[in-house]
Amino acid sequence: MFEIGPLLIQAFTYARQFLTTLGATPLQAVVGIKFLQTTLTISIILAIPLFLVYAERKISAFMQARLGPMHTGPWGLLQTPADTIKLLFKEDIVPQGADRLLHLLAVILAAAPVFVCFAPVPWGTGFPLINLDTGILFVFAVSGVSTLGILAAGWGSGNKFSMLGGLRGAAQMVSYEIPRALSVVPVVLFYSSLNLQTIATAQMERWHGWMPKWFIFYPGIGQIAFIVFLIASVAETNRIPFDIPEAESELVSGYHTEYSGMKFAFFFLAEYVYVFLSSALVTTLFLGGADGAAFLPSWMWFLGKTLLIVFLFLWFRWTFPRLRVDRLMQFCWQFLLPLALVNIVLTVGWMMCKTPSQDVLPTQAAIPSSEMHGSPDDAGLTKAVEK
Amino acid sequence: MSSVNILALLQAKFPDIHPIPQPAGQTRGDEVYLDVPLARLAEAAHVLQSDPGLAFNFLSFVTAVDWKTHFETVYYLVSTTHRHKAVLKVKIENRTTPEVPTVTHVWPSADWQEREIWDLFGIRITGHYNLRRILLPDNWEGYPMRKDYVATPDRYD
Amino acid sequence: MIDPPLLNKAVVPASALDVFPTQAPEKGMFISLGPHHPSTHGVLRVAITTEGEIVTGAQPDIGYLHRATEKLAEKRTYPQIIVLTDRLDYLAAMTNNWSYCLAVEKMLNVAIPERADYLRMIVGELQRIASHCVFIGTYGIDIGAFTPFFYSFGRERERILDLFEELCGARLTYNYVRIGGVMADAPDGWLDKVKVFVKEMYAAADEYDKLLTYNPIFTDRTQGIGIMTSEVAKAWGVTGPNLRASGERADVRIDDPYGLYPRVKFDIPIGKNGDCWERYKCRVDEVRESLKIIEQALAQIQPGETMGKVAKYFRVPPGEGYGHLEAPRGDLGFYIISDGSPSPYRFHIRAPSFINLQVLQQLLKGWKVADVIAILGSIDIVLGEVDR
Repeated sequence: MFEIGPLLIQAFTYARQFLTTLGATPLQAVVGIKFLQTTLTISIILAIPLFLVYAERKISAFMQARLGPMHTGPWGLLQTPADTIKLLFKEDIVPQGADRLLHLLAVILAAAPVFVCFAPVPWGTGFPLINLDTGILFVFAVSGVSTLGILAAGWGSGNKFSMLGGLRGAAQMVSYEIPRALSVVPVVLFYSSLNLQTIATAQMERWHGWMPKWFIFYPGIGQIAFIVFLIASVAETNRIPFDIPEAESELVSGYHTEYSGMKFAFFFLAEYVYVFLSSALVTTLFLGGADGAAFLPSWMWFLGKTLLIVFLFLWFRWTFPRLRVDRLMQFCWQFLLPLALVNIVLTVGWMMCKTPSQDVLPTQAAIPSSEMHGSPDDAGLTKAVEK
Repeated sequence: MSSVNILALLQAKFPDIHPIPQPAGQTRGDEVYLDVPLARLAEAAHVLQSDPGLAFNFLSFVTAVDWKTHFETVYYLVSTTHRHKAVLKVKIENRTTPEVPTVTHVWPSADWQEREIWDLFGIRITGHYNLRRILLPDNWEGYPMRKDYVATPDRYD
Repeated sequence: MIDPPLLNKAVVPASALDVFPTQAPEKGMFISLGPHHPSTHGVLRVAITTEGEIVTGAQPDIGYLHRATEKLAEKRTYPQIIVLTDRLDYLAAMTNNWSYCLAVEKMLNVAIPERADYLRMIVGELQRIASHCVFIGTYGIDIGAFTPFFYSFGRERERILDLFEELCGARLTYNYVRIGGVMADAPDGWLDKVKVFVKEMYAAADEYDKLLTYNPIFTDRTQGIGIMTSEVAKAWGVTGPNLRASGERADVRIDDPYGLYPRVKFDIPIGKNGDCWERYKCRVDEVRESLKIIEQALAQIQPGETMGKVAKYFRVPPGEGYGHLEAPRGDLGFYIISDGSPSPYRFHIRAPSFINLQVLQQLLKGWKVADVIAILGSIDIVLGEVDR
């Protein structure tokens, strides 16, 4: 129905033609279009935390037998914009013993990589910003940079508690990246591609005509991979039960104790965007991405599944207590990591047991080549460079 | 164990510990009230705790009273095994530099309570490992619970 | 794992520097869990020296809430002091009032009417439930679970406070239990409301068990942590659920019965190990036992007088008296010396939280910094009582 993908492709094609008529060379036109697309994507992504913060407050309130924001705007809808404006007006305090440059750099390092990671995520048919052949690897590599940000925040605050929080945060994030990556290896092996668009599209087939071939439905291997990836993602985003680095009642907010105003807002923003990114990855890898019945457009399916996983993240936060830091590490290294490794072996076993005619490797031919390359601008870029 | 037995056991070792008779017209509980001389407190504490017939293993509270002519520290002891109670009262005649030995070697729960006595009454607890003010700020002058302490007038004065 | 020392024997530190280092130690760090901290349940400062993650010395620093209650009481008449006692352990004001009235009634030798005693027992046990609800909620927050707080504090305790407001007009500092009886009789239908509440509270206690008590993450963080043997507890004068969690069967309601407790049948939850989880579990089970007591009291209560024969302006005959009871935090007692005047000559409060807190000097050593909050929370102190 309301497939935005083709509409956007049309719009950008027109824009590129318009730019060419203005006198730009084809290369310049493509760069200009890419700039426009990036700006648009970042704006949309920046709008997501607004919605997520409100959702978190309302959902947590309903779980806790209370109402949440009700005052500002109908049903408290204007609460998050109000909070954002308030934070914008706050004084930016940098403690005396802190390293000013590091204090600022930490925010950028923690927040910026998450936006970049949204590039290869396929939102629907014809949708990812870049059709990256190393999609998932790119996401893991870039999101690891935010660990540096937390470390810098802890050290740059000049505060014992923040330093403790930063160290713990860095240790936790680095440790949990390993099970997270390893739990995706079965998916990559299965679909023999790192490209997120390929993985998503390959899950669009059906068993017996009705059962979607999402990776989570593969008995054993799908569920284990899903659970390991989910838990490792919760740990990566520093959410409860893994939020020791920012635990309020333990170390008085850990590594972002000394941040005020917009810098604090950015840490928060980064966390919610990271949650959304992790949920989008879960959806793409395990829940078939934009796959769904035809009565809803594909991007709505994608959004719906992503929001369901986001709800899981929120649900965990308000139900569980937090793990102690050494138990957290023990859980990662002594349980999740061996489980992920075992899952890889099981997946290879599954793949070896099935002959190629059965549903092991999705047929590449089933995907029309025009959709293989998501945005036609890539084709345009290649052509432009050839010229 | 009846009060007579407690007295008998104690007076065998410490002849100068006397029971405090109930003054006429006064109300009192059913504990054994003992008047312990200051010099005997340390040894008596040991005996009260270790003797199997006495076995006062629980110190409920330690406090002090300012009687204007002398001070007095009060120790309320309970035996959880024999279920009897005793109240020790130690008179401290010296009003200028009052001192009393610590009982933390016997009952560690006296730790902070003796610090409170030092803080509020000014009775020095000899042998206490950490005699510092506990409730009032460290640089407070004077001992408020003494009857001659000059305080800002209360609306009930 | 670390091997926490000094488990079986209460050891008074050898010197002051042992517990209160005046400068940073050569090895390790000096952390001050300052008066402003979300988890210290009031204005309490705990100075900790650590070596890596292990705590090597701990000294709680109190006095931030000292209001000189004992000195103030020497200027007030006996009925006026009840208002002061409300504000000691402000989360359990009914039992404070009752303990004080027990002491004065012992000295006055006045007989309490039965209905007043039953009402005292009902409100005392309701107060115990309310106080333990606060503990469950705040301990959950200390460990990181935010939701049980809203259930125990925001739902159940609100109902109890609504009941109290209907009974005596106040939500926190009641001034309800008076010398000789209680302030006023229960309004019509109040006892039925208590009956309805008791049924709901049973279900709520089961909900806390499902949500928090047996949660694997919670048990992981509290079981085997902060172990206090009964010898250590008794030597340091610890009372209340802390002592019972260590395996000691000690409860003032059984050892030194007061009021009409001999007429009701109830159990005392006893723990085995004396770790944080046992201290938490004892309090949750005590909620259920309190509900049993309230049910029996509701069945036994008869209409009658609510105030004994006490003169309006009375003087307590000279003498001394000690009255104590089992408050939610431990053995709360009042030692009063009277010289025949309308005000007491000496008024001493045996505050359970004050005496329970000093065990931290020994209890925190050897555990990790991350456990400090769990152990401190499990002792369940209220600074109003610690500092008086």
